[in-house]
Amino acid sequence: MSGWVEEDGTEYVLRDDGNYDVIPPKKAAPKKKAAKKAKK
Amino acid sequence: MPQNRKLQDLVNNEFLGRFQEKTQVFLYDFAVLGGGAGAKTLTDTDGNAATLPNNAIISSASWDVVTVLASSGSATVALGVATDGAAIIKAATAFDNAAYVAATQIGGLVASKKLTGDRAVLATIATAALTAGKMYVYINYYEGF
Repeated sequence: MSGWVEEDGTEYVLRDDGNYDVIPPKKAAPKKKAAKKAKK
Repeated sequence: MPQNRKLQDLVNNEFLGRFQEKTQVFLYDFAVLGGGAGAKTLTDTDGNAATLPNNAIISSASWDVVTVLASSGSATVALGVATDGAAIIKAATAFDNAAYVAATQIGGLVASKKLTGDRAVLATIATAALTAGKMYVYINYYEGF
């Protein structure tokens, strides 16, 4: 695989025909809230 | 026509001095490259592979739309080079924006750039496909060290 990643995270992947697929940057997954401690 | 362009027609880039601005022309032709979303590698005016040279310092660019760009959706087109910035010449802009519909646009660069290797020139099509279009992209540069 040949290509590069732009500063904004967009990925360019070389295709067999000499052109590139453009893959948008992945959005960061939302952070999971910490599980509450069970009350004793 | 600028004097350096006339000179280049006679002697070609390879015979111009290091400190003379050079121009290279690239072609986007829908009939050859298609219009699907993605980055199209532009060719020379004969349809052959072409690149800007390593260390080229891009000073300006302009493009000449000879067949109006068309799209069945809201396609955008960006101009740039491989690896060193796919939108350093023109940021993603609607295909029917004035920047692409007038006969010839003198484009200011998004960012002047020194290339880090021999680089293909790209037209990145996004949001929707193009269904027609042909334009020549003129890139002016100096040989960097």
